[in-house]
Amino acid sequence: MNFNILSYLIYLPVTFYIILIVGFTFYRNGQHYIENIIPDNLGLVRVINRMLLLGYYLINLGYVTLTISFWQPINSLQQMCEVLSTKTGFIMVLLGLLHFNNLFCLWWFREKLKTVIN
Amino acid sequence: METNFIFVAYCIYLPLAIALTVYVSRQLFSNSKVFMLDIFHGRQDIALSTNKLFETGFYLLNIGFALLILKITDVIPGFNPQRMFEVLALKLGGFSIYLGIMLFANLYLFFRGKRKSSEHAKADFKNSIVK
Repeated sequence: MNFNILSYLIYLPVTFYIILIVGFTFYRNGQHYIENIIPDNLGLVRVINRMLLLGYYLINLGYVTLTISFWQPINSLQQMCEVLSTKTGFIMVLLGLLHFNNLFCLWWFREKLKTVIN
Repeated sequence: METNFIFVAYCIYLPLAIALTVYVSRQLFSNSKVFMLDIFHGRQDIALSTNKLFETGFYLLNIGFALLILKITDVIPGFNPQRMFEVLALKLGGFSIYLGIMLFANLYLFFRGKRKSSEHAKADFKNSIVK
């Protein structure tokens, strides 16, 4: 019996759920950061934030969907468990690293801005 | 079908690893609010946002890593629960050490942020006196 379709049916909802929830958390909490960098222009802040969210969704959901086509055949329940967890774990670690990279960029940008103003 | 201990080991490993991550992250990020409020000089909105952002990143990195290292490459032949426990102990112990290192890395970031922000505050104070 081939477990591929079953594992796609588990993989896609799980990763989509993670990406959607994480993206929405970033969207809500990141607004304060952008407000900090661009003060006194709430309209621009909202537009930038929404565009960033849209880009994030497009790239990540696209990537997750694209990787489906490169899976090897899965022949047992154990192998399905391994493949699913390795792929999901890879996506999550990648998201986490990108996220911390983003935070450092924002921090760095703010420091630069402070020195320029002073 | 023969009893496959690798699958049993996965069923024990996954809940334990995820529960450990959730516990550590709850502890860390309920205590880090104090740091954040200190770093951002009591500005509630950005302090809580930063806390939430770090928490999400922590969950992603650590649960992701737990899932990544799940695969057991050793062969556990036949009925051999002893071998299964040894393999599980290696995985869970290693993951726990990794979590500890991540915890200290986060604490280092918090302390560094605190030092930087107090330096900035002192510099601003000096500038205001000079002007």
